[in-house]
Amino acid sequence: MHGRVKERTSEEKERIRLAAEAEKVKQYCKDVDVVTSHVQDHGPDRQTLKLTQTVLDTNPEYYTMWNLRRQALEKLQDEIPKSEMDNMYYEELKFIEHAISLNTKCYWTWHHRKWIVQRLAHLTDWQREVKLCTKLLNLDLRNFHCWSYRRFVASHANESLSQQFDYTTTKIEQNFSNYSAWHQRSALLLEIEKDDHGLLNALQNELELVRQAVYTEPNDQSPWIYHRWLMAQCKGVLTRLGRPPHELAQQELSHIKELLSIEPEAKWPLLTTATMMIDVDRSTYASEIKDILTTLKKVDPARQEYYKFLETKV
Amino acid sequence: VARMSSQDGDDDEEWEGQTVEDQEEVTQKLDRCYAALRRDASKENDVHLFREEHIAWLWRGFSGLPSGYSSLDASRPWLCYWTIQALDLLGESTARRASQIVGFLNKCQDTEGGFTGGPGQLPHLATTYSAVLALLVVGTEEAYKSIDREKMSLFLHRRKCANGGFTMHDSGEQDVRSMYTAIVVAKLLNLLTPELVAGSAEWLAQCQTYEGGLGGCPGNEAHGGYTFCGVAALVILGRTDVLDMPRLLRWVANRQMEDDRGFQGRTNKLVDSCYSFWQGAVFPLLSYVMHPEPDSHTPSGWLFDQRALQQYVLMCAQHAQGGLRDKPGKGCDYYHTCYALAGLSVAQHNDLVITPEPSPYIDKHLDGNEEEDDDVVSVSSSSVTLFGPTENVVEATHPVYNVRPEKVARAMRYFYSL
Repeated sequence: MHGRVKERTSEEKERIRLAAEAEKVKQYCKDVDVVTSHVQDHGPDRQTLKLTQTVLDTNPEYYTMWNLRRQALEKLQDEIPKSEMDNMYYEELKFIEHAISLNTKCYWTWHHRKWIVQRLAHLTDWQREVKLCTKLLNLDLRNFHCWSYRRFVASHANESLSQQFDYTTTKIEQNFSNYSAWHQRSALLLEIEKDDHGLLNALQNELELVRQAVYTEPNDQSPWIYHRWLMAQCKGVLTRLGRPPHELAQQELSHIKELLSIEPEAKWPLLTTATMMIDVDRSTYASEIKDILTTLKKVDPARQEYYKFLETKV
Repeated sequence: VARMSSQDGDDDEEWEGQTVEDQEEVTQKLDRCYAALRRDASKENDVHLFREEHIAWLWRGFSGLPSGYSSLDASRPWLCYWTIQALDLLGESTARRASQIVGFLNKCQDTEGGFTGGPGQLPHLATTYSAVLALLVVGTEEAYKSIDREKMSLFLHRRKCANGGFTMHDSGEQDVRSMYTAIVVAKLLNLLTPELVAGSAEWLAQCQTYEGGLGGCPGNEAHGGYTFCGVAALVILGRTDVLDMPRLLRWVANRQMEDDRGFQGRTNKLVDSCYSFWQGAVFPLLSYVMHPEPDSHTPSGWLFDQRALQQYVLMCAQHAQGGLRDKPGKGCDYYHTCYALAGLSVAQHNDLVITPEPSPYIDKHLDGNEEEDDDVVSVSSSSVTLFGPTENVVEATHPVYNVRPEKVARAMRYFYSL
């Protein structure tokens, strides 16, 4: 006789689930208590590393536990031979890498990793740290913890500024929307081009890159925001070189006009034109600016109040 | 020596990196939420704030939380603050739990100053901030007295760095949050000294990016949460002169999403209900900076689409059984419940006049005393912009602190008379 498969009722399922929950919570609290009493009795030591790991596996946000690990490591540094200590730091890096893989946005894990690699100093494999960031940024290109950490390790890895710049080009070519890459690029450009002539050249190349991006997708805001920054830089450089400050702006205005002939109601080309005109010569362009703002109020109603405010500036 | 590079071969560990969810997918989901309204605009009157459901859901948090919340075990004052502030915005008093709340938070107060993430943990600026705000929401003298101001001052000074910033905790990280939380606590408790904030405005200025918003630290891209923290801190310090305001306004104005109607945290990221407050509250702050004299304040509202933001919170962020969420498809949590409601509040109330300088202040609402004063904040309830029926109105919140203005005033009256 075949037994009937016993179907659990949903009530039973819920009871089982709640019991499992309660057990998890109990275990977590126990783990925390174990750490607390151990540290009370023995101070932060090797065993602390083992015990805090259990808590951090469940809750990497428990910052006190990360602090205890640092205290334990600092103490061990004074007590054990250097080669053994270096091994401990490497083990620590493995542990942190695991923690980051589970929660890529935890402040404390990134902070702790930075602390460890600095302790290891010249023994740190900085190239590997950069690779780690590249791997994560491939999965989550907007993770600012990772971008920030990458900036830190790249400088130690002696990754040249142009190499870092090329990295942003790769990310942008993969995806024009990658805002973090445009942002990073803005910081690097000024670091790389210290000479005004070189900078002007580079800025014009950037304008070309932006043009490609906006023709591909006129409504993507990332390249337009970068464009705004480029124009401000162009004005600065041209002024320093004693050339008409709005020379490039005029060229850009005609490029954007071409784009608007294809996409007359695209918000970003419209807004960019208006703000550029306000910057170049708000009185000569006054009526054009007003017309654009009227169109913008229609095609971008979310920002009506903001456009009304801009109108008062003309 | 075991080198990590030897591990390169087995890079099998699957990373749970969050891939950027498709913007189109999200917009389509939200579109379905708004569909009824598109077909018939009068349906607006059927869009309700599920006040009773949210209140019931929030009260349940007092009895215990599921194990998934263990990740917030080091943030217990936050849980406290998010819960009671959300209840307060919904007009629900937690007075009957006042002593219990004060008692618990007191267990989180470190003997050397500041509040920790939980009993036995290290004091931390963020948990200190949330504990102090929670005590302000409780608003009793027992709550105010429970704070050890002397030790708090020492704690704040220990967090201060030579470059003008603050570390979040002992050997912790430094960013705009630590600046904001330290300055708010100091301001509310009457512990703000020139020494404490020396160089702070200048450090914050470095965080403004070319986009106009502020990043977490110099070099990071502009982000809603940090932008709010930086601007609010500078408003308290009276040093918004260090920022390029037009650029900031342009950036924050463009963070409200056309189709999705809510705010995104950064350029080209997804909408999230918590930014209803982080981004939304920047507007009254900017308005204050641009029109500091109360008389010149234009009562026509803020420079964003207030009704659209309310639509997002009410039609996309509410869970019918109570609680609010980031966006449809995500679970509800206390953090989003607090900030979505706070954002709703900012979007509803037009007439928040901010004067950060506390002064001997008689609260007209509390004592019925008509004595004239330069108020900390005055709120005119006639100046609301509403989406949906009038029952949707929530209490006003102070855009610098996210606590009801009268509670800020009451607390400042206490601490500034010491």
